[in-house]
Amino acid sequence: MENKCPAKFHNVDFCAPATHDNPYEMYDHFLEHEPLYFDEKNGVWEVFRYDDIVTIERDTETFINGEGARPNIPPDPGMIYQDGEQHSKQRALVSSGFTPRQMRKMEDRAREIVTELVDIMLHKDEVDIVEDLAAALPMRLIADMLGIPEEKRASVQQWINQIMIGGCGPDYVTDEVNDAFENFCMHHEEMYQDRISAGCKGSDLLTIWINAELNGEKLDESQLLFEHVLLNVGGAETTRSAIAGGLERLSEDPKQYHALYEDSSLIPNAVEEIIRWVCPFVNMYRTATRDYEMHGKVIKEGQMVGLTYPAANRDPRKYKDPHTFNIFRDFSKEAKHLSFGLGPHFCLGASLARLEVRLSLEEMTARVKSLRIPEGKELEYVSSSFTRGLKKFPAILEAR
Amino acid sequence: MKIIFDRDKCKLHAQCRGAAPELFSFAPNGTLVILDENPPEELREALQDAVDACPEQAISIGD
Ligand code: HEM
Ligand code: SF4
Repeated sequence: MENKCPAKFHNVDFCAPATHDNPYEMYDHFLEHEPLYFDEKNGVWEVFRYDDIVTIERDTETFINGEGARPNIPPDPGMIYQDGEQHSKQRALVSSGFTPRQMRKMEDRAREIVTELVDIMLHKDEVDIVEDLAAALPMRLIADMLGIPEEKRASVQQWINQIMIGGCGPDYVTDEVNDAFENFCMHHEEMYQDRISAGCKGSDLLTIWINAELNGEKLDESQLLFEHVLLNVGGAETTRSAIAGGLERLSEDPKQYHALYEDSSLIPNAVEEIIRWVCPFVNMYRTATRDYEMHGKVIKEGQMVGLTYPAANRDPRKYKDPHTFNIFRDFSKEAKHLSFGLGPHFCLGASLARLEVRLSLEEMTARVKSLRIPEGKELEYVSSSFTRGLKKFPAILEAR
Repeated sequence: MKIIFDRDKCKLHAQCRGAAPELFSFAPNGTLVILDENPPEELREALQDAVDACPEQAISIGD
């Protein structure tokens, strides 16, 4: 029977990673019965419904990022923690490397990488879709864009994975997380000095940022460092979850997989459905600048509220059969998913992420007839209250 | 080609500037500045990207 017993969802600790393992029954409960919930343990509010998230993201005077975007974790100089004019300026300085035109130019390089990764997989008896494709592609692209030396790439990925764990809440900022952050800072300093001594002539993103200027203003050194962190944090694990999670759904549903092979023009819509369904980020937080009433309760000035994106993406007020993975879903009739957020902080890397998921699907469906999990092997998931997704996806590929 | 810009709708998200830095910038007081009201045809693609990027639908193209 359906579990409707609300007692089951008392005293939920939204920062605890395990809270978001198989969370949809819980999200459904809150969507229906408690659309605004106060998490006593962490002293933060959570919202779930699609329209509530849109309302909060649009009201940038009442709900700001300047006090932090993770629960009870103080802000840093990166753009995600800026508001208003300062955010616009900083984002404009950073975004020169992310214009849609820049992305179209990256397509060839990205396709080369995907083709190579699929080549390698097709020579193996058994692969791990996460390690061999989903993690490798975003990491390589970001590393190429930033100009990270080959020999440093594996370490950078490890540090970033550690840093992400700290995003769950202050209790999760362990010594390992702090060490990883320190290592990343040293790595940043090295890359920065290399560019300064080379006269800032390169075309990599870090050089573009060092040179970027807007009305005589430039990014200062701490802003550079934190944009560098943000790009790695925002771009690697999220895209990996989307690619791996999408292929996992499709491996379970050969009909939809085959449909994409038969007609590749369906792929862009499938990309949106994958990103809706996987929804890599559990939430972002905002801080109220005044008392704000919602659903008969009051979010007090100075309190934080978490925007539970994966719940909103399954809000039955917007989506038909929200828990069904359907590459034919009509987003223009239902609603655009909220996986990339909304408003001024709308994901800077959305075009890049979409490109990576699309190319992965194009290459896989064109060259791989089927994928299945080998007997005795299982999927493994990252447990997190920040970025969720597959950690291991063992598979046997059948070539076309 | 002409840029039609509705200043009342503009919420300064700067997405247009991200899509087409050749055409959009900010004045020292933080308001949006259009660098070329009648841009050359080569910039049509850039302008279209800016139109698509603006979450407020504040920009359109007049031919
Ligand atoms: C499927 C993959 C991705 C997902 C689901 C995702 C999701 C998000 C979300 C939810 C936000 C916050 C939006 C808000 O607060 O309204 C965000 C912001 C951001 N993302 Fe992504 N992201 C993805 C990929 C990327 C990539 C590939 C990059 C860059 C290489 C990136 C860079 C950023 C940056 C820099 C921000 C901060 C923007 C700002 O504060 O203005 N993301 N992303
Ligand atoms: S993207 Fe739209 S709202 Fe934002 S600054 Fe440009 S015109 Fe204004």
